[in-house]
Amino acid sequence: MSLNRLSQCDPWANFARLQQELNQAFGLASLSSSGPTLKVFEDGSALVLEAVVPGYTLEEIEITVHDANQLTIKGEHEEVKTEAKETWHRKERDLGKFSRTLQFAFPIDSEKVQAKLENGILKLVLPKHESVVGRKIPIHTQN
Amino acid sequence: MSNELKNQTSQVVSRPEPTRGSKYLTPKVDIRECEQEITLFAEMPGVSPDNIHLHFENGELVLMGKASPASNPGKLLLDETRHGDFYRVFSVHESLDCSKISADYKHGVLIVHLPKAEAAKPRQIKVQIS
Repeated sequence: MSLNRLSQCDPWANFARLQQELNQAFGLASLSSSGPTLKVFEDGSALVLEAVVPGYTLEEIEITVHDANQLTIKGEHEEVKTEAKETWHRKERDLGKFSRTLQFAFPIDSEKVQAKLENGILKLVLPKHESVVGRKIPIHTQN
Repeated sequence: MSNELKNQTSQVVSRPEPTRGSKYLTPKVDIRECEQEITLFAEMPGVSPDNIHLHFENGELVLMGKASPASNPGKLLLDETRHGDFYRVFSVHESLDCSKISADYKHGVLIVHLPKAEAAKPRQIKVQIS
């Protein structure tokens, strides 16, 4: 069996594909698997996203909306070295660099995205674009 | 180091049990040692500062974080997170000055400063030449 064929049999690849298909069915696809863990809600005309980013400051996080329906969250944390003679006995935390991209089934209104960082949770409110939500048109009477 | 600060998380039996039926989450921890102190960084994201409890008794340092209620602003599309209270215990060696333990909580990380006792700090000893 060739290596190529072996990789085709990878059950994890199948699982990842299934996850992607499921996400797409619900209007969401994760284009990368690394990065912070996420929680995403659909709340009528907006999506609410929570990313778990303990240890990162707002300055260390970059949020970009591109191609109208893709969102990328990037983070880069640099550890401040306090003393020359320091020893790390445990390093369980995943601090450093990450980049995570999500694709939505509808366009996002990038002008109205709100971001808040509180106690290590980044909360984003991503309003759907007017073209999806629809715009209410006021009716004027002529009486 | 292993003598100074030993993780006791394997002693599950001694843990107090939560009343809400949820399991405890073990916070990820980094431990740094320098000349003056040992610093412990414990990740407790989503916990408000009022709900962090740090307790020291009988040589044991107990870290606890009570999780805020899970948010639920609509239809859930994706959930990779784990929700629950944080709990972890470390045994602290007597060479640390336990009366001067201090802590702060920044960006979801609890930072505990464990100053070394004077006797345990490195000292330069002058060698007398006779």
